[in-house]
Amino acid sequence: MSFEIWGVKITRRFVAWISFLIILILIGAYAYIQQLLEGLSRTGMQVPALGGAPWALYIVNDIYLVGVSAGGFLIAASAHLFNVERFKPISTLATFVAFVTILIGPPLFVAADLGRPDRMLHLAYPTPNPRSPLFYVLVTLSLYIILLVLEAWFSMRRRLVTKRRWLTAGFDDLSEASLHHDERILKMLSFVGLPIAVSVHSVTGWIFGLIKSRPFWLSPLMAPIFLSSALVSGVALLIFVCIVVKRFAGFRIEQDTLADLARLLSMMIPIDIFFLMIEVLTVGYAHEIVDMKPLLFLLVGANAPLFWFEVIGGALVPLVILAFPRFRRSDRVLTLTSLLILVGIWLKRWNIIMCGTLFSHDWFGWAEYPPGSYTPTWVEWSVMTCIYAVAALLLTLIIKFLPVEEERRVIPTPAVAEVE
Amino acid sequence: MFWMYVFRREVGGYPNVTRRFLPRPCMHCRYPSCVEACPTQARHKNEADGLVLTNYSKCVGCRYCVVACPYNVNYFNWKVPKKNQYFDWEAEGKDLYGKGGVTEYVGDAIPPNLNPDVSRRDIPTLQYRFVGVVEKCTFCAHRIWSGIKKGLKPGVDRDATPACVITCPVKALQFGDLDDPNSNVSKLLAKRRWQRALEDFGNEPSVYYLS
Repeated sequence: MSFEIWGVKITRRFVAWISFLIILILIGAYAYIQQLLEGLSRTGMQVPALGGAPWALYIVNDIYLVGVSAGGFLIAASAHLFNVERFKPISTLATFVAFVTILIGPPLFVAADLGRPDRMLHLAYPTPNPRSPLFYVLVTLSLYIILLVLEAWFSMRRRLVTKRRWLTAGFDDLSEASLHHDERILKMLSFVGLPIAVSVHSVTGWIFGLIKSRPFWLSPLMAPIFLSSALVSGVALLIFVCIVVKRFAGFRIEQDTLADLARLLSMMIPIDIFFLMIEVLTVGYAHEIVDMKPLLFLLVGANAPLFWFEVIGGALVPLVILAFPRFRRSDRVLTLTSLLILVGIWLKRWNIIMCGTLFSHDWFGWAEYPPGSYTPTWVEWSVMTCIYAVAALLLTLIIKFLPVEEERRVIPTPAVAEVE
Repeated sequence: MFWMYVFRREVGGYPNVTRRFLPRPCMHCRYPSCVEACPTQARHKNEADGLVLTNYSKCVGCRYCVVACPYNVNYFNWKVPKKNQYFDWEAEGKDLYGKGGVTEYVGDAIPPNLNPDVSRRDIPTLQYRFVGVVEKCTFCAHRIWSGIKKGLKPGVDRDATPACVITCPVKALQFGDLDDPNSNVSKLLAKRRWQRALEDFGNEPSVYYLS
């Protein structure tokens, strides 16, 4: 069973994968309809005064997906801006990974999280509140998405002319000057984009870091932590996607490129651990009463397994693995490592959210709210799987039907090779 | 409705044990964190009287105010506000007196989850409560406003005073105009010792606890 759509060969494996994703999406849609009909009571969330988490799994995934889009953009931007030749072949792929995660993740998870998704546009119109951090999330995210679309289009235009001409919108000039012009625009976009990308992640951190009512959140380190773990998880996702498309879509991605990405990763993980260590040390050494409850919950309490997996399994073990050049060149080890990192950073988001939402200030000896607890329900898990499936579906279709892969360049064979 | 939360605390050891209660309405802060956090300006501070109120037709239900309020006064409507949203009135009290739930006693009267001042059970559109938005104590803004329209003085006349204040059997709650030096509350604050909750947040809450 194999046929062609738009000149692309559809294999049985591809159909199976798409059907699998669609089944996941349908299950999630069923769960979401239940949630729409009955209200958010189908989730495990509850107001803090009654011992619950008002923000939970949806927000965890929301900020996680904002984070993982960082890596793709970083790699694409460094390829264009600093002329890193190694990353040029995967720059379009990296841009699309960033684009899909940011386009699908935050809007859909916010829609799932809102009590009134029908009013979602109220966030922008008619009365947005410029004093709310959420307003700046909206602004920076919109700019970021526009930027990624432009960057993806310009980095793909050359190949669109031969493969998907209608997408070039008439700009099908393939002359040397025009290609050079593309390069310059890409460079400019990356230059403008880096500050925007940094502010996207900082603002996401400030949603939490500026809130004084949650003891664990109020921290100037929130923005840097979000930035560093966004880069770590982003590059890990990019490595994972690269290996998958290499294996299943037949992309030609050099082993050196992957090894470079892995080396980048092993430089960024220590920064991430460093920030986390500062946070825990400051809070722990000062041991203020209000901070101690969330900290103990994190280090030795109910969340301890997740926290220590985040630190050991999600950061230290990958760091050790990536220290060996042999492992940096093995696809299998890299897949495992990037998955470990992705899970670790997801748990980091989970821990940050839970340490904040479950703990409120007690009234200094006067009174105290009941201790918080939160367990996600099947509705939340299904909706979450559904949104990830939508993202995977979109990315699969883009990779399948758009000329994402860089055409092979004719590189003059070096003389050394001939001697061999 | 749980808009007013009552902390319960046991103090002391046997045999000198006592139970203390502390009501917690919305603090109607001078500098409210929820108003700053709200992305749609649904939560706003009323210029005229300083009440912190919610515009239910603007609220998107993002629960940022729930997270941002240091006093946790916000309640989200997880389902259609009916009797058992937070508290199962049907089951609660069942077989307590050898009879059915609360509704058996309440009968056809306005059930406790609806505001008797603005709700009519037979007209659904008058039940001003919606699923998926955040609610909180309003200091019975509807009572204050309708009372002022009639020329009554909040805190003095019953019909212009929050319901919790007039129903409290031991008169533990007092309500009035803090800006007016001759109001009942200003006089009380001048005479008695008081403190406010979590003052170091700088929200300047309008609720004073007399001691």
